[in-house]
Amino acid sequence: MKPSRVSRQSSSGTWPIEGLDVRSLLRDGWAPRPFRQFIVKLNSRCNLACTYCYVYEMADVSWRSKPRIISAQALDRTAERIAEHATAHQLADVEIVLHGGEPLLCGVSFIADAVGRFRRALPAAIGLSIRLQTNGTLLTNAVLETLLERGVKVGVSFDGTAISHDARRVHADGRGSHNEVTRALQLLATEPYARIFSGILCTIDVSANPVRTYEALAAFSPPQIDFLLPHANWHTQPTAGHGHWLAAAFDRWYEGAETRVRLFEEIIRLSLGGQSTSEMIGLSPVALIVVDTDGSMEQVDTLKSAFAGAPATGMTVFAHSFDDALILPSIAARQIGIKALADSCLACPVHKVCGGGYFPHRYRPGTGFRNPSVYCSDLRHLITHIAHRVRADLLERPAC
Amino acid sequence: MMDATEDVATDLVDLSQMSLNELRSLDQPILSDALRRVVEEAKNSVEAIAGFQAVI
Repeated sequence: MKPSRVSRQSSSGTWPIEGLDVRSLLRDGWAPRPFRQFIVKLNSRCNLACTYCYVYEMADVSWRSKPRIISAQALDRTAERIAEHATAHQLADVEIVLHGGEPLLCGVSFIADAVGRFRRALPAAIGLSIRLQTNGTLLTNAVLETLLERGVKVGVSFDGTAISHDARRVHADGRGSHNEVTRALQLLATEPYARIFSGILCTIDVSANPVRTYEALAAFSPPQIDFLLPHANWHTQPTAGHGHWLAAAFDRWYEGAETRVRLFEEIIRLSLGGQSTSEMIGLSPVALIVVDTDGSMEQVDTLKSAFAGAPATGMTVFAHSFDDALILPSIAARQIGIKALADSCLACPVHKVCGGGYFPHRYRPGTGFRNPSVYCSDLRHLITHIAHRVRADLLERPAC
Repeated sequence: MMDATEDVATDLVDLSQMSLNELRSLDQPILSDALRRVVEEAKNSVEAIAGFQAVI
C-alpha cells in the first residue's frame, strides 16, 4: 500500500460530524463512558521515518506545528484533568500511555519526571498504570533501569524478520533499525527488565511469510503480540491478502501457544459471545483520548491516516475538561456500538465480532466513517477461519 | 440507523450444547483461557472498554 500524501478531505458533511445527534442519544438514555485510557504525546517527533507511519507519512501534517516536547504546564494540566475526570466518575483505575513520535527522545529523566507528576496528581485511591510505546532504538540498560524503578511497562514496535523490518522501519537516511531493536528486545526479554516488558506491536507486511514473522516475534518471549493492519481506507486502499496472512499466522500461534496474540484472542472471545478490549475489533465502547504536546485533546491519532485534521477536537486541557470531550459526536460515535455501523454491516453474520472493523479504516471521502472497514473481506475471512477452528475444537471432539 | 439486529444470523459459536464440565476439560490452552475470561465477564456483568490499538 502506498500511503496517501494528497488527501486533504474536509470532514464537513460526513458522519459522525454531520448526522450524529448526541443530544438525541442522551435524551434516549445513552450515557457516555468516561475515559479510562489517556494517551499522552511526550514528543511530537521521531528518530525513525517508517514508511507506513500514520503521523508523518500520511495526510495530516499537524505535527509540524506542534511543540517538539510537551511542556511542564501541559503535563501538569493533563495530570490535573485526569485526576478530575477519574474522581468525578469514581473510576477505580486509569491508564496513561506515554506515546509520540518517539517518547524516549525526551530523555529518560524527563519521562521519570512526567511519571512523578502523574502519580502525585492522582488521588491515592485511584489505581494508575503507565505504559510506554517505543520504537526500541533508544532502549538501553540505563533507560530500562529507570523505567523499571518507576513501574512503567514497555511495548516495542517491531515488524519481525530483518527483511520486513528494515524495508519499512527505517532511519531518515534509509538505514534499517532491526539490529538496534533486536538488541533492545534481548534486554527486555531478560530479568529484571522482563517484568516491565508488555509486548510487541507488529504492522503486517503482507508480502512476508506470516509463520516466519510470528516466530521472529515470539523468539523474544514477549508476554503479548499484536498484529496491526496497515492504515488504509476507501480513499487509500490496501493491498489484498491480509485476511489469509492473518489466518496463517493464527494457525501457527494456535498450535504453538507460545505467547498471547491480542487480535486473535479478541476474536476468539467475541466468537464465544464475550466482549472486546481493543478498538481494533468488536463493539465495546472506546474510552480513550489523546493529549498532544501542545495540550490539545485529540481522538485517536491513527485517524490522521484518513484526512488532515481528522483527530482534532478543538479542545485543550487548558480550557476544557475531559467531560467536555465526551459528548463530541466524534467521540460518541465510538461509544455507541452497533448504532455506529453501516446498514450493510448490520446484515452481515460477523458484525458483532468485527464491530465494523477499526474506525479509521472505515473512512470514505464524502460520507465519513459510517461504512464497512476497507478490510471488510479480510476480517470476514479471518473471523470465519477462527470461528470454524474454535467450533471444531469445542463441538467436534470425540466423546469421552 | 438500524437498531434491530437480532434477526440477523451470526457466526458466533453456540456453547449451549456443552456442559460446564466439558468446557473445563478442554486441553487447548488458548481456548480454555478464552472461555474462562468469557465466563468471568458474564459472572461479573462488567462492561468491557476498548483501548488504544497502537500500544501494547
